[in-house]
Amino acid sequence: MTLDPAIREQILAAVPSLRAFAISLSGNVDRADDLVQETLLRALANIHSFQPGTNMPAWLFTILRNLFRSEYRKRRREVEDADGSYAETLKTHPEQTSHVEFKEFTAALGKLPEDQREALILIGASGFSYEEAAEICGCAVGTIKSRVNRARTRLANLLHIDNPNDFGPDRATRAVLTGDDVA
Amino acid sequence: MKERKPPDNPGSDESMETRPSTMKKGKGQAALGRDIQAKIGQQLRSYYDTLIEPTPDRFADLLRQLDKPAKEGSE
Repeated sequence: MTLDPAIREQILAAVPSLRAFAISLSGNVDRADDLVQETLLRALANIHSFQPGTNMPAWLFTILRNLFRSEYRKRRREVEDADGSYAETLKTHPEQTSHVEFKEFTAALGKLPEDQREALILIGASGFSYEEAAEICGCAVGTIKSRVNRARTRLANLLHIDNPNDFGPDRATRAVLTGDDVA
Repeated sequence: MKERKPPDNPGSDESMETRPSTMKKGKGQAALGRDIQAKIGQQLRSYYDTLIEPTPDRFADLLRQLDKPAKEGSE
């Protein structure tokens, strides 16, 4: 196999985000690394089908996402995350966000349906356009938009965000503060 | 065709969308306000940022190894 150095650079440049996406999908760093490795092997084996000048990150994300999906179907029961183990597998915490807030957020993310989580991450974090995300997920642009919207709404509900300055207190607490009647 | 537009969301966080007004939002749910979307976006990015690390050596090595036989090989 001869690999154009420019192509190799493009692949390597995409790896950090690809890996972050894999961790987001699987909630597990080791599995994510395996997914990335498998993705790179597939990519190299099919490099002739990549058209130079087109979107390398989107191509790699598509491969990884398909790999994850086929594996996920096999292992669905293992991946269920009712008890929040999804969040626990993530080891680091950002300094600009409190530890509690971060844990709550990752736990909420883990509760989203797979479709919605991947759409939200592709759009909101990986930096893809709606069109690119639709291509990666093999669905219509409108489907991605609706998944992203549902994901945001669900997260806002799970995290009780009604007001960004009010990130945290539950409804009852806020009701007391604002004088609304809870009952 | 703007009559069904959700009250609270001018589509501000949808800057990447070409036509936010074509979206049929709110099957039973109101669209989120832009502040809430911004807050979620910020949390999401900071979550993702924690997952970003320099490319682990194993992947760079992998690409190098796979590339090598071709360079030394017969083709």
